[in-house]
Amino acid sequence: MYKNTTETLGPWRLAIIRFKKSPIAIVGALLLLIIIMATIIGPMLSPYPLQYFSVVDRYMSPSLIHPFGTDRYGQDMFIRVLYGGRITLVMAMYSAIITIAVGTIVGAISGYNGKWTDKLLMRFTEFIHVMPLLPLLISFTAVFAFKLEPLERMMVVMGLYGFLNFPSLARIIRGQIIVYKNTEFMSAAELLGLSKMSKIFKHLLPNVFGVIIASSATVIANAILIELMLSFVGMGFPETIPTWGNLIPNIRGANMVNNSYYWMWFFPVTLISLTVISINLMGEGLRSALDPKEEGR
Amino acid sequence: MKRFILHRILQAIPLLIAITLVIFIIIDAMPGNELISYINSLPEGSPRPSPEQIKQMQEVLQYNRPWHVRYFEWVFGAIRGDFGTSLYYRRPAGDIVGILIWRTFMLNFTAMVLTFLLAIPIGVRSAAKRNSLFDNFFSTTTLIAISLPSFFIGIYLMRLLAVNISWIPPTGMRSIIYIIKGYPSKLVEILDVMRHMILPVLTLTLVGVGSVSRYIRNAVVDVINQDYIRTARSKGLKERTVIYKHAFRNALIPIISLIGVMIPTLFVGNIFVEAVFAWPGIGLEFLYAVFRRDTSMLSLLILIFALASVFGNLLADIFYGIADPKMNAEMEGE
Repeated sequence: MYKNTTETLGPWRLAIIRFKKSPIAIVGALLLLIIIMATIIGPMLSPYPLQYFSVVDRYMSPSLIHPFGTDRYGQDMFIRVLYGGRITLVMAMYSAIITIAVGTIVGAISGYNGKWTDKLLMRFTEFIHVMPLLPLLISFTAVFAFKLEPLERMMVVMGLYGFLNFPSLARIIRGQIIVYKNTEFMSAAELLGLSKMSKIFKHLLPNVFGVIIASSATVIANAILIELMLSFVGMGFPETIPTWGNLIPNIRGANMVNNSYYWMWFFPVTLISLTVISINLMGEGLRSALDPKEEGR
Repeated sequence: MKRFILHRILQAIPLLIAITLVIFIIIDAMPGNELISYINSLPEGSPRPSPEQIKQMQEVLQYNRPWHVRYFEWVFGAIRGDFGTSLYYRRPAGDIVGILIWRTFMLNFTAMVLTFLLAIPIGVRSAAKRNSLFDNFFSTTTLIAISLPSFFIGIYLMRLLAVNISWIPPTGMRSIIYIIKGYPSKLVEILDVMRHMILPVLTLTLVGVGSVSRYIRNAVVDVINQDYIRTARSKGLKERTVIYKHAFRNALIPIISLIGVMIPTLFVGNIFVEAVFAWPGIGLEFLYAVFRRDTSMLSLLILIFALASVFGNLLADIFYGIADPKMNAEMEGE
């Protein structure tokens, strides 16, 4: 670690200061932190194990013992929602990591190399970009409907979503890399005779890091929604596994919204909404904090 | 410019071919086929064909040929306007989709008109009074609207308007009474369908206003920072005149190009909004087609999705070209 002797503000410090100035972003970050902590700790402290159900407690409305009420098997909704959050958030992270990795690598290589590599990669990116994403994903899930275990199938599908989602990120990063490629410090790196890998990954990418972080918020939020959408059309995890997608109303149980057990959908839907909103609020805050151009907006 | 547009259209053709190829491979890889799922969907107690009969039927329907043979046959049929026959409907898939696509269009077109009617005042006012209470309120609410998946908004609205206050029918396109009895007159039919359109249109509008008003705000902000706006202000023009006559007019180019880009999506719509409200359009039919393994329907529907997406991108490129003189120069060079 280096010691900062004089009071200079690096871009990161400045970003943090600017991030702190945006109250909405702070609220988003705190809310997200609380939700993530709850999904990790909540199920551990629960008096009801995941597979616990009691026929006597069916359809109980929200109370102190069951904050979110119980479902038709007498299972505590609160714990199921938190447990579902674990699965959904991990799946979303996994998918987002793939998007970010592929997007960064394709964008960096394409932007740095230029010429035919750029042309080829951008043509490929365009091809993926114009694919009708959701219909394709739904059809793809149907392919593996019986061939794979539910978890494996979701891993494949979410991974595929992560991959198909890379074009927009790759384009942003390519644009940024092209901007930085012609700066003085890159000429210096050139003169030092550094290897191409070192130039891209040690000198160019750190400058683009802010953009990657700011975009990743949207990527994660979208990945959460994809899990919900797949479950919504009955192609996510099997019904017995409490993921966020399975806890919300779906095509199989369309009457859920119409019946009087409002807590069976209201709490999961609201909690998921809060999560996605807080991720986006944080992303918005990060974007304006990391992008100096946004200052005047 | 003409050369650029032609160039882009020619580029779109191999893209479409590649997409249809991918689609066909995926549909082929789906387990089960149309015939099996049709037999499984027969009502309980009705006579089922024996395995030999199924084998025979599959031979008649030519399911056991390799996929590439069927692909080329489908492509040549599609060029002639023949998209195959749906076993479920026992009618050509093209006929069915021809009806459904207008239902989807009806929904999305109404929603788009409403979206722009709401989003333009919100966006322009937010841009004119940057960082005011109005701007902050709408930038937060629109962010919430774009964060939420469309069907969440749909679920909330359905509960609020159709269940709590039972004003409007929650799902479907026609009332059950009329489906059984038939409509007494054309006017009743139109009114009934319109009543059913309220909820999905409202949902789509809310979703649309979120992103469109943000887009318009940014477009107007870009213009407001220009020198000619400062000139207009320093001439002593009223702020209203400056914003609506000078700033908004110049921001119209990106707004019109946004409308252009959105037009192909009107024919595709939102699968999930259609599913929530059981609106019998393209999106809902797509979901059913996946469950039914309705191959000819699926390939046609995904082709429409792909076409909408390819055309949307094509139009976006062309509009960017028109709006951005720098791009224009690049195109001339190409």
